[in-house]
Amino acid sequence: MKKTFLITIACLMLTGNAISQKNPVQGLEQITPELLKKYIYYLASDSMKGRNTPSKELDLAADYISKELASMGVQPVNGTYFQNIPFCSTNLDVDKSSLKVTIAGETKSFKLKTDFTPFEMTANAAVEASIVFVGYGITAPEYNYDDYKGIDVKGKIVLVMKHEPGEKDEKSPFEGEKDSKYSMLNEKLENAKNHGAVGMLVVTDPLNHIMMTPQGYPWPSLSRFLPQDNLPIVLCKKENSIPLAQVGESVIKYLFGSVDSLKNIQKRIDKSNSPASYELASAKCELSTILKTKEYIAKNVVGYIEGRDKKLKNELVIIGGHYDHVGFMSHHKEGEDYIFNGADDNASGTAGVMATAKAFTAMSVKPKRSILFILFAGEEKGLYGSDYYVEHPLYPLDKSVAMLNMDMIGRNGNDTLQIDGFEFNPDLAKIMLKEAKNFGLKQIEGKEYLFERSDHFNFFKQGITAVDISSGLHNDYHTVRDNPETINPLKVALISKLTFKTAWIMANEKKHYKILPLKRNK
Amino acid sequence: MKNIFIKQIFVLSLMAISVVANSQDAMLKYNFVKGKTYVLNTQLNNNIVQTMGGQEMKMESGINSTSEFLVENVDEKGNATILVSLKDASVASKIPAMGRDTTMKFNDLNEQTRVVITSAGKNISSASVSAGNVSMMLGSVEKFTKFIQLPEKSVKVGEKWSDKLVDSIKSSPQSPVNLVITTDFEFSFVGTEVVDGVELTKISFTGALQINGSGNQMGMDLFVEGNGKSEGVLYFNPKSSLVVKTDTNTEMDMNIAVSGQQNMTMPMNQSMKTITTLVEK
Repeated sequence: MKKTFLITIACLMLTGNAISQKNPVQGLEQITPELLKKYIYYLASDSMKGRNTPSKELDLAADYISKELASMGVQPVNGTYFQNIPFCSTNLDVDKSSLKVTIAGETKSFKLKTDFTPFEMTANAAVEASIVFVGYGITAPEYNYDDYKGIDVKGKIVLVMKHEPGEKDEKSPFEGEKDSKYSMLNEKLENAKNHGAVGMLVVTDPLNHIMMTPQGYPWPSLSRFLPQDNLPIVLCKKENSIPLAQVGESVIKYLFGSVDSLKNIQKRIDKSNSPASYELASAKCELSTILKTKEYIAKNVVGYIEGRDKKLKNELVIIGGHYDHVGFMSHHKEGEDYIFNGADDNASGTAGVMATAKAFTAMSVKPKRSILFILFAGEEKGLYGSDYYVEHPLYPLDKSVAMLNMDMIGRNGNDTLQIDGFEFNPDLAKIMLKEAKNFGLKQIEGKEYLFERSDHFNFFKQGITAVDISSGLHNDYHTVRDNPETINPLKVALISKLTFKTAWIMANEKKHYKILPLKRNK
Repeated sequence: MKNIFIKQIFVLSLMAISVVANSQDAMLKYNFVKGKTYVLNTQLNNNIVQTMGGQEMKMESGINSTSEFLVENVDEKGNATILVSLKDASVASKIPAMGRDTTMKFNDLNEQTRVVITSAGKNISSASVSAGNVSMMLGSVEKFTKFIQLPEKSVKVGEKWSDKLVDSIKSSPQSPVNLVITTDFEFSFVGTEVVDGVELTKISFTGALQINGSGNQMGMDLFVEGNGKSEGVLYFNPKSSLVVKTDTNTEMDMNIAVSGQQNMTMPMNQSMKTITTLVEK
């Protein structure tokens, strides 16, 4: 009797587990419009000032999210709910940046902006070396063209022209009038570094232009007109460059005698499609590009639920969305709404991730695979939070089997759904499309052109199946009208439930998911 | 969701700039006859290159337009009142990297501006009679009809004269930046040349342009600064006393800054080739 009773209890437990694995009702019940509304109204309130990256209001939002995750029982990662992201804004130090050229013992100093202007990719460094003219600075084996052939530029400063041979010639071997990749400055810079150059000067190709001004990068510190605080805030990168500046007419005249001399060299190169590189034997150059960098910190918010399967718990399903938005208008009229509250973009998706986390913690049976929740900062500035995460993953990317991103999930009709990227993620799409109908989301579409525009894309680029789940664009997108009262909490709940259910399925199977390559314009 | 539309807002504002630059070589001297109508054909090819992080984004566009100049009155001082009607226009734009290629045609537009000019080409007044979205997009008919002021004396071969002008363009929904454009041109009387069997007076010119502006759109502050060069030739028909053809190349280096939702500063290069021809209807 006792034995029969125990077997019955065991069978019931197994059946219960099987049912909850197939239909995780306990979790789904947690995702309610009321809960989502609470999160959205907090995150998109005026006090959050539009959650710009970086800002103290974004930090407040991060604290709020982390406390909510902690209260649910979601675990921190390495003892913290935050992944710090270093952001930098860089300006040119006009007092310390300089260009001097010495020819036959005579040194000439050139002026910033009128004679030379560093590019934004320049190194924070000074260099002194001889100058080698390397034409267009191109090494293109497929076009049988190499400006560096037979020329040693190691430890020297190269001087290159912009663009490529036959830029406006439809018969040019460099893809006719269409620009090949070799015409791009970053390609020339990489090529110069690969050949051992220690600096690079750039001149406008005079055959195709009448303006020979050294435009370089429009540093606010060089302008009386552009606002001085108008520097982009980007992810801090490791120094891997060389001093790099554009030089203008006065430098060309000093080095070549006249602009026409350089024009004649360019004509020869273009006509013969063969390089005309040479060392400017007596010319020495001192190039100094000194930068002033200001650092900021913003945070990705992370939370973790460990899987229950001994082996599969080492694999992850990632559920994410960005919690930043675009801040507020610094100049506005009295009484005018000036805060971009970002209720749909993306307090709604953030709320969706938080509610999904609550659903997972409510399950009596944990998923086999582990779950990682990430709320990204810096999405609006350029997908920086997810970019930083994939460069500095908290768990191995090759163990991350899927990424489900929620971005703008609170608008449009109750039965509409947009899954951007399902054509490139066939296995994931199959699960999701089937489940969507169970939640009444029947009008489903995907917009290929939007696939690269949210955080999932950085995971997809790493070979991880990843889609963006959204309720689609609307007229209030990136306006001050994107306010909490425009959100449909029921819609947010439906999409959050779909995401939870999809993640639940994926976290309980052994399968790995196929992705297909992007169709890109050449 | 990240907004990538920001760059596109500059295109329209720069179209306006290009037209103003172009307008400096529109006419030389006027001997309009009351009641006569003249037809001005303009071909403008415009290339814009935006640079960011060593990558270039190119946009090409072309405008072909036809305008009619009806001389309504010429007063005793020689000042002419002209009703300028933009008749037809086609605008083609191409962004090779994005595979975008668009052409728009507008016929029978009849968007009009009335201008009063001196016999030397000095603008006394101009007022919009009827304007629509197309003329706004093209830089407005009013901007098309600004004339170069010429020296009020006979000039000899090799003689030079200059024309300096400070102009402004107010912001509009199509072009959200208030712009101030300074042009400083030097003209040189080259001599005579036979073009299509007609002996014409050839005048060459070079010019410098400066541009500054600021505005606001979608809660973002926008700033523009730049400078440029222009060079070309005018052909003047001494019999009709009209500039019958112009051929101009203009290039501008500009810096664009956006602050607000995103802080962004980027250089931009714009090169234009413009050919105009004027014939009596």
